[in-house]
Amino acid sequence: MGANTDVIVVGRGPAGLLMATLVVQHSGTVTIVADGQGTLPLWGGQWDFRNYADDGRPLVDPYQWWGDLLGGELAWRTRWSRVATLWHELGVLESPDIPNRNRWILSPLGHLRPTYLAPRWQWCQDQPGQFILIGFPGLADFSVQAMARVYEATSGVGVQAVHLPTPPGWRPHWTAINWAWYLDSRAGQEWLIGEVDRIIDASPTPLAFPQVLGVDGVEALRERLMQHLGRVVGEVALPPPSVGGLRITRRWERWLKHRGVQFVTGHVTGVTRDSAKLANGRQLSGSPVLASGGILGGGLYAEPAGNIRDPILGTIVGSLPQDRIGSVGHRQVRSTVPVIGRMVGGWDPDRHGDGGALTLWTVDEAFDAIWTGLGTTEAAPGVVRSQSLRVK
Amino acid sequence: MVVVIGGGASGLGVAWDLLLRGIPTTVVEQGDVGGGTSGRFHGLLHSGARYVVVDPVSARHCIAENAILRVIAAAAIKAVPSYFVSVDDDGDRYLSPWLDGMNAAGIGVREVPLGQVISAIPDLNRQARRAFSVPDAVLEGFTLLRLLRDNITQRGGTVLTHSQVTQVHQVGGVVSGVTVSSRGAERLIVCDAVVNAAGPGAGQIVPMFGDQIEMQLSAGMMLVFANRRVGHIVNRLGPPGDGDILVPHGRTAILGTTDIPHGSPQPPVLQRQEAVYLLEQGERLFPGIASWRALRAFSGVRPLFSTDSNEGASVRRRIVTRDFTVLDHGMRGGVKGAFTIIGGKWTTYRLMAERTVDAVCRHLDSWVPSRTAVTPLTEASSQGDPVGAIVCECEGVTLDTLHALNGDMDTWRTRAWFAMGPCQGAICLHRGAAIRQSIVGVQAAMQEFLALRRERWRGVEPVAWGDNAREWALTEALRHQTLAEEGMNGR
Ligand SMILES: Cc1cc2nc3c(=O)[nH]c(=O)nc-3n(C[C@H](O)[C@H](O)[C@H](O)COP(=O)(O)OP(=O)(O)OC[C@H]3O[C@@H](n4cnc5c(N)ncnc54)[C@H](O)[C@@H]3O)c2cc1C
Ligand SMILES: Cc1cc2nc3c(=O)[nH]c(=O)nc-3n(C[C@H](O)[C@H](O)[C@H](O)COP(=O)(O)OP(=O)(O)OC[C@H]3O[C@@H](n4cnc5c(N)ncnc54)[C@H](O)[C@@H]3O)c2cc1C
Repeated sequence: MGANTDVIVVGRGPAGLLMATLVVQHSGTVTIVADGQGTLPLWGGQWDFRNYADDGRPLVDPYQWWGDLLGGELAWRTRWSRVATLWHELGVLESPDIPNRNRWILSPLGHLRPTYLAPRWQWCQDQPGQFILIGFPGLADFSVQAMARVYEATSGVGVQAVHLPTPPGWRPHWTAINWAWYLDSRAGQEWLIGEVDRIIDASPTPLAFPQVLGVDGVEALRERLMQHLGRVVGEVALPPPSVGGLRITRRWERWLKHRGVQFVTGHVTGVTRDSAKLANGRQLSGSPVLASGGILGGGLYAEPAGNIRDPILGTIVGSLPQDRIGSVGHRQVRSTVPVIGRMVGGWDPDRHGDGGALTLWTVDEAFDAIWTGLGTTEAAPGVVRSQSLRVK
Repeated sequence: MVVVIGGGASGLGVAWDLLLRGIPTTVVEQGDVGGGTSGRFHGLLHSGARYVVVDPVSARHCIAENAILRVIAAAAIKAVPSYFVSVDDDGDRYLSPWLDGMNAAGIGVREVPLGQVISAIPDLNRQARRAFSVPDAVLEGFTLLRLLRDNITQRGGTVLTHSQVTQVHQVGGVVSGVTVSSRGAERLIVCDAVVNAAGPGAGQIVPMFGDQIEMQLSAGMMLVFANRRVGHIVNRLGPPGDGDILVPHGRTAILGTTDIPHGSPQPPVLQRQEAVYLLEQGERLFPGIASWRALRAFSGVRPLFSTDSNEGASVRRRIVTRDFTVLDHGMRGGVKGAFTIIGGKWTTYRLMAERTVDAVCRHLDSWVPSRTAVTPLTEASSQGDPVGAIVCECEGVTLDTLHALNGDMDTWRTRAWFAMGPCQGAICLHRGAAIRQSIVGVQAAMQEFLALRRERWRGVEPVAWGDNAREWALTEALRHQTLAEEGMNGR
């Protein structure tokens, strides 16, 4: 026999962690079982609501796009404030209010892209403006000159690019993570403040750094930089492993552990309504919720002939190449065992930029289902949305 | 001056042979060197063992050339243990004609105890019955093309890429020059002979020589697996068939091939169905192959040619000769001084070139014997240890290496193996784009980047299963969510 908790969450990605959070906030007990890290450390931590319209153009007002769907504006504001409040508790400082519209972040290619809720460390603007890009030696993912050229060509606004020298002890193989650990140290912080001060001009132009300003000490370092240099400082999220996601993951998991959540490492091979079975023979009891991710997370498996299988529930949920690899999944959240996060199909975080909303909505639904007893079966929002759009 | 059309194995082979005989030459290639079948083949330096029963002439050519290339192109040949393994009744039935054929062709063959083979290749079918060692080896096509090109230019030859021959001129029925169009500009090259080495595209050149031929093109698919699961060449013993050879290549192992009639010199769109079929054939040798980490699929077009004897016949395609033909169009009633070299194998490119240039010499009326068999291809410059920042982690490609190559991202791919590893460019393509920008500007660099992204996807999609599907799901998230690589143009 093993642990006995109210809920067993399968998966440690953003969906699994959020599910566990809701349960402990309602005084329930949770076990999280996962065979890997989940995708949170692969991204910068900005939560997308809906970034692009169906024709692919960037959206300014996601509330307008969602309209009455999935509970309408009120329900969405409640969901988002849940994340913002949680971040405050984790020590991730967010802008005080939930934004009304999307804002712009910069990609490592120099492109602007919309997002919705982002930690304050993220470099974010309401419209394309000027800034100075700070280049770090050896960071191939943050080529400031190239980014400046693309930004200028696409936004029409010119930006500056400057380069930092190498600090003492630097090695050519340093990645973003190495830099972030270094900048958590006192020596690293002193070096950075001194060097940046030396290479930039006296204007109040904001500074855009790569996302390397410390793992645990980012808020303090950013505050010091802003005070010392008298201007806004923000970070651009880089490709994985991403320091922003790593920061949130560490704090979030610590927070959950302090609230009694048990973390078990293991591979789940099957579930019933009130238990989960692990590959090593162990059995956990409690109501399972599957947050085992899409194809990337391992919750869905693509077979050679193209079928997409959920190996835990044993069902086929789609097939390639008819379905898109990023949007295939279960058609519903509520079933005997609820499924949440990227396991749910019909959403397309890659094309539409709605990964954060997907997580929020599916977790909400699943929580209702297990906390108020198993309810009705509802279609995935992709289905709901396209039907209601057709009616409009 | 002799103009050679086509910068594949045959064309570069012909140019090198011409230069060694003292004849000036210019190669005209419509894309990049190796952009045709010579860059899309299975990578096997044949011993001839595959052909001893069905095509003994080819087999004899292969074993002779195999020995020559190991000496003159040592840098491009990797000797690895190589086996023919019988796994079923098909294999057993084939054994005695095969051994007779091996004897007749003079190809060394030795039976190896099964236990020894299975312990060296744990993934091999445990039902295997007998195993034989043969002198097949790995042929690194891009390396050999680079050697040929470097040696050609060092000898004063010219290789024009992104250039097409659009017209052949004649005076009194004899070739006098060709018009070459490069990036919109045209120029005339005066010459005494033209050699058509356009591979699967050869049939489209021949009418310019006042002649007609019928090609019998067929496409073959290959599957690339990561992690070099098997470090040996393994052939399934039996009549040549589909999915019956595995060739280790660098850090990968490649299973091939299929053989499907095809109407155009361009490779076909890759289909998952064909990949799955190939995988099933591969299971006869390696029952667990479906669980290996697939990387991508690719395909090439065989430049085969139907001679009158087998034209229109419903012969099984693999039985159509793999041998080559040199056509002297002047003797066939076309333009004098125009030649076509067609068919054959990568393994026999040198011999094909020698025979072709023999014919050219007869036309020029100046006989000099070929020296390619005894002249090693020398390395232009030995590349030292790579230094500098790493751009592509999977293949360990450094910034200095890329700068030294002085080409576009596709050149980086074929020369330095950039973006060819397990991540297929997920982690490195955008870095490449940043480097290219400072050289060609924002727009051109973005175009190169998106083109290479599409090229990678075309090969990954048909084998997007298991871990390879996960890798591609990550790539999609990176492309759109992290890099926003399509900018504001929608997605
Ligand atoms: C590169 C990248 C960039 C992104 N950028 C953004 C962004 O900018 N904004 C945004 O809002 N979202 C972003 N996302 C988030 C994304 O769109 C999804 O919403 C999110 O990844 C879904 O997470 P998940 O919790 O559903 O699954 P995952 O994070 O994949 O977690 C799956 C978990 O299940 C476990 N698991 C699977 N099978 C089993 C099993 N049988 N037994 C035990 N455990 C199992 C795994 O080990 C893992 O812990 C990004 C994602 C990626 C990968
Ligand atoms: C699937 C497959 C697997 C194979 N495996 C092996 C193997 O393992 N071992 C082996 O020895 N052989 C193998 N072969 C055979 C071998 O690859 C080919 O025989 C050989 O590469 C042919 O070389 P080529 O130079 O004649 O043709 P190509 O390499 O196709 O060269 C022709 C060139 O001509 C250019 N061209 C065409 N038209 C024009 C024009 N109008 N103007 C300018 N340029 C033009 C093309 O762009 C091309 O680069 C394989 C073939 C296939 C299809």
